[in-house]
Amino acid sequence: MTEIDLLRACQQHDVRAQTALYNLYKTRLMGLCRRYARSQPEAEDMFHEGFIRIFQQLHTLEQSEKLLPWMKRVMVNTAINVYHKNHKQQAETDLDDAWMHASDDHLDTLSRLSNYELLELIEQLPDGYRLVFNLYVIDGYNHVQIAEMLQIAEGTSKSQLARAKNLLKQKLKTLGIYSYEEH
Amino acid sequence: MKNIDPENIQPDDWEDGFRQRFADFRANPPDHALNRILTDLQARKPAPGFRYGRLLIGVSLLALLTGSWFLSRSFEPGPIPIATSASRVSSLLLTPNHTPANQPMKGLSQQRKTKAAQPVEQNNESIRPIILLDPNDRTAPTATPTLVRLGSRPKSTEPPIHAVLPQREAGAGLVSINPSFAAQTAIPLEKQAHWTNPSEPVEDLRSRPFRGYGKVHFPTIQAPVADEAAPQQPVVSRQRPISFVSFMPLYLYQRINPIQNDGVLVRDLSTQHALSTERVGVRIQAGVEWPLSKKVSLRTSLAYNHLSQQVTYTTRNPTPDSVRVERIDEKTVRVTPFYSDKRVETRANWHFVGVGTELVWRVGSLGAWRHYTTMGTTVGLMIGPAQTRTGHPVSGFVQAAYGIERAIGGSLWLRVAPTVQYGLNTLSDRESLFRIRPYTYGLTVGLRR
Repeated sequence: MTEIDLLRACQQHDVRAQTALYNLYKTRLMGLCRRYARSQPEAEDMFHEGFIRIFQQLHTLEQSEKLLPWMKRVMVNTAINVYHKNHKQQAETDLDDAWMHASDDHLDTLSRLSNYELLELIEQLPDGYRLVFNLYVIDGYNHVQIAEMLQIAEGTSKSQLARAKNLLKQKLKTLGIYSYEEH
Repeated sequence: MKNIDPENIQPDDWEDGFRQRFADFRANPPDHALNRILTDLQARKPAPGFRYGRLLIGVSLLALLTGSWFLSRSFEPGPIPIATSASRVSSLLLTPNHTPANQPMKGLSQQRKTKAAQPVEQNNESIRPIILLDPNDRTAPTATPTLVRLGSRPKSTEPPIHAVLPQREAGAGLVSINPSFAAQTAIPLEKQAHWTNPSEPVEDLRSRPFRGYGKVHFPTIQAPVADEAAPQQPVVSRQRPISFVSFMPLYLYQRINPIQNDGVLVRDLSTQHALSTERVGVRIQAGVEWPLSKKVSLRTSLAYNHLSQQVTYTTRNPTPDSVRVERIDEKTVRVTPFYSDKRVETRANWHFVGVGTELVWRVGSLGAWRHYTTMGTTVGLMIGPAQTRTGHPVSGFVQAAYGIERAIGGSLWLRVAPTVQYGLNTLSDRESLFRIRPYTYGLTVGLRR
């Protein structure tokens, strides 16, 4: 079954096609949810909610080649909804420390850490930072798009990204992993 | 906190490292996740009929309104029986608050003045006050001859009410319907007229000059209601539903958008005629108009639309017509394919069946022509090969018209109404490369009775 056939069958609410679509993309979309969520249970809830929205809104998709980007976008939107729903308190506690300590160290630890170890660091970021970091660094959205998606100012997106990066560097420093000094 | 200058943050290898590691990051969901998703999906999916929920709700409301209106019309109390009115009138007329006729008159000038009788309680009914003139006043040639004026009693062309005096008891000498006011309403017997034949009209002498006394004012005497002939019930003109059928050729006023498909280049897009003059189909409508008031009706109808669109365009042949081979060197050959263009003609057809609801407002009439406007919606299903852009078969139109109608004989009326119709959905037949949103107009011609 080609992708276009799969899409059309899913649009007709064919359960077998829905199962095939799920099996085809479940790991990628769950990986995306893990990045955006602050915990495994929250990622599972996000994945669950996102896939339901995918099945519900699949009829709006015309072109099968855009299926994966569209599904990712639905998942990202679900993550943003979860953020808006849950995020009432912005964790601002350790920003000063983050900035103070992060400016001096340049980290090259990515190759030493496994994905799941890095994921733990990302999960520890405050919600807003984690969201902007994922959107900008990994999923490739620019600040204008992020500002529109999150309904924030573009400058806010930029500063949140900077703070997220510095906080990540500081956390790596806390782990005691240094590679080399910034030149 | 230090101020961070976001402009100084540049993409770096550190970001690229994250991007490479996590762009295709994968994780396994829980084993039971699919079952939960499908279960929740079924639970959140609207009931089978709910897909057309709005349509059903609209139709139900319409049926409810129409039904309740008919019920209210069916149980509406008829016109007030004349007997009741007559009994009130008779009792009122014979209960004036005036001086008995056989008493000496004092202060005629005062009594000549119009007196307002007090409401009289009779059979627990409050009766409207009436205005009376003194019936014994014969000295007022200029007095208004009006004896009784009932506020809302219309002028009637019916024959006058015939009076029959009731049987007198021996020695009574007086006629009174209301015994409690007998003393006040007593009329000497010798002054009473004797009408025995109900069919014989009473000559109205009230305005006839009588000797030197000017106009004579007789008291109005009403017969008992039971002796009156049964009045003819007034005819209530009830507005009846109007059935109609109409035909409308549809002309197109729209934009045609090519659907972007990879690898297909479409150019020189054109239609058979100019966009505003191309007839693209017909609309046939039949239904009933339910009068809501004197000027407003609710039109319910079944509608069938047939739309077709012929479009020609130029595209490249998928396979090359010729190939030019050039030898570059001993080991290299350059192959250049040549494609020719082809002109493609395509025709898309749509069939739509729906239920229409419109309000009809009768503006007025000019000569034999009556003017009216309509506005409403038609909601239904695409039954042809076409689908809406989202693949959903439900579609709809909003339409408005300004029409004129006139009787053409019998109970038939001819209707002509310039109409515009706006499609709520974009249509695509998935076979052609085009998407159409039907903005159409046309002249609706129909009959009604």
